[in-house]
Amino acid sequence: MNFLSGIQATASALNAEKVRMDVVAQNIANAHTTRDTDGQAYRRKVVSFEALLGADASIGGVKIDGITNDPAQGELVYQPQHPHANADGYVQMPNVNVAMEMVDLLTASRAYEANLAVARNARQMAAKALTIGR
Amino acid sequence: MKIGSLPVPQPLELQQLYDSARNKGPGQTGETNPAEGIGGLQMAGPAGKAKFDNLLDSAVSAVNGKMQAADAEKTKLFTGETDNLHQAMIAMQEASVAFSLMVEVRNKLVEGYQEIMRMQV
Repeated sequence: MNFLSGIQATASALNAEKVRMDVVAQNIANAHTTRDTDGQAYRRKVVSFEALLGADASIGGVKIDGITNDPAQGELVYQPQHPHANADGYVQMPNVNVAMEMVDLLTASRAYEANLAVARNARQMAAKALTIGR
Repeated sequence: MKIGSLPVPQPLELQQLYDSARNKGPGQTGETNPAEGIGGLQMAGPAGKAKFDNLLDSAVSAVNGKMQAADAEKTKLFTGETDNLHQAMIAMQEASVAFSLMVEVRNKLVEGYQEIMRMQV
C-alpha cells in the first residue's frame, strides 16, 4: 500500500537540499580559514546532485553525487604579522565569497520549500480522495 | 499504537442474509447467473468470505505497519540517531492517511450493514 506515491522522490530531494545547506554552513563557517587539513587555505565545497532512477526506471528521486572542492584561487592579502603568511608577507585567503554562499543558502531554502509543497499537496490529494462520495 | 490486535468484526449476518436471499428466489427472477455477478465482478460465495477477511486483515496490518514505521522514525529522531525531521514527518503523514482510509472503509461497512438491518421484511 503506497498512498503518497512520489513521496520518496520528495523525501530524497529534501535530504539533498539539507546536505546543500550543510555544505553552505561549512563554507560560511570557514570563510576566513587560512589552513585546511592539507595545510592549504580552505577551499569552498560544492555539492552536486544526480538523478536517481527507481527499480523500473520510474521515479527514484535525487541523490548526492559528491561534494567537491571549488578549484578557484582565493585572494592574497598582505598581512606580514599573520602566522600563515608566506615569505613575502602574503596570506592565501579561502576562495569563499559570503555573498555567493548566501545566494546558495537561499536557493537551498527555496528548493526545500518547493519540495515541502509537493509533500503537502500529495497529502491533500489523498485526503481529498477520501472524501469522494461524501 | 497496536491496532492489528483488535478483533476484526465478522460479517456473519451479512453473509447469512446474502445466502438466504440467493437461495429463496432462483426460479422466479433468473435475470443473472449468481456466479457471474454484476458487472463481471465475482460475487463472494461462502469460500469468498475467508478471502475478504484476509483482505481486511492485511489492510489493517498494513496500516499498523505504517504506524509502527512512523513510531520508529520518531524514536530515532528523539534519541538523536538521525536528524531527518522531514522523514519522520512524512512517515507520520503516511500513517495518518492510511488510518483515515481504514476508518472510511470501516464507516462504509457499518453503513451497509445498518442499511440492511433497516430493511422492511
